[in-house]
Amino acid sequence: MVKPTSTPLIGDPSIVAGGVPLPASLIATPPACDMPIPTDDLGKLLYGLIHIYPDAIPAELRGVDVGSLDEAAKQRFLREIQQNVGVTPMRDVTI
Amino acid sequence: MPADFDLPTHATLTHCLSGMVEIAAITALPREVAKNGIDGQWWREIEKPRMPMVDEPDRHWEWRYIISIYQNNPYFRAFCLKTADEAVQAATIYRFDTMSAFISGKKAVHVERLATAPRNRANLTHSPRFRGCGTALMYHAIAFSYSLGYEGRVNLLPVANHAFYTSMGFEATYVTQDGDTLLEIPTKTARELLQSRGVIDG
Repeated sequence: MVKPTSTPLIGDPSIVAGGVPLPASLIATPPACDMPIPTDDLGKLLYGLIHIYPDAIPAELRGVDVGSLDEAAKQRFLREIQQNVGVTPMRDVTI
Repeated sequence: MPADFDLPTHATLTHCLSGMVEIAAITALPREVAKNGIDGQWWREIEKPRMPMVDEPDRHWEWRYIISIYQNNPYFRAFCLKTADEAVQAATIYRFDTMSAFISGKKAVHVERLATAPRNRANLTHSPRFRGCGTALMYHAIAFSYSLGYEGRVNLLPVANHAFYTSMGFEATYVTQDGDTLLEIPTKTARELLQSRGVIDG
């Protein structure tokens, strides 16, 4: 915990990154498939991971339209994919 | 347990005037928030800038437009850092169909955009409001990479303050684009940063 101070702290400098095209050699967009792209953030993330980790998809998710899943199912499948690729849960919500 | 795909939802900032810590929320950045909370505010509220604002590399960025380009792409995600007064203190866009420049065949999250609010920039205002906004979103990017199974690897093209990123542990790669060198944080350093923040186990 930072203690209150009577002397104002100096702010950060301009922290700006990006806006410059990334070289094509570093882009590896997986091939698209027939599945419609969901409109919600969680659905889009799940869609992206299904294409990035085709071998880590839970069997019951194969061929499923991600957009048709409810929030809880999306979270569950995301967790399963994470487990399948070796990601352990984070401990804290605050960084 | 973190809510949104295991990602941290809050970050600690330091109020420059008081030195007190403030907890800010990290949330998705939709187009409307980009329009009203960034485009409509960030550059308009600086009355007497210490240096010409036109010199800032992101002065011409229109976040609403940028978000609209990426919002339907499943490999992009946009986040912002909001304080309790709903003010957007920083914003970022990640891309995750991208590769590491250090380790062949390995993925890395690419920071497509990152900017802190002009009100928090010491080079623009005599009384910046918060410290730690950019740092918080960099940690968030690393956590995002970790949550995807990319082991924390993040790369970016800094267009200002190269030293900020290298001080966090980013290293120069062989990749250059438009005169900028791509920086990337190696796996080991990324893991140590997340451990130091208590986000993952040691």
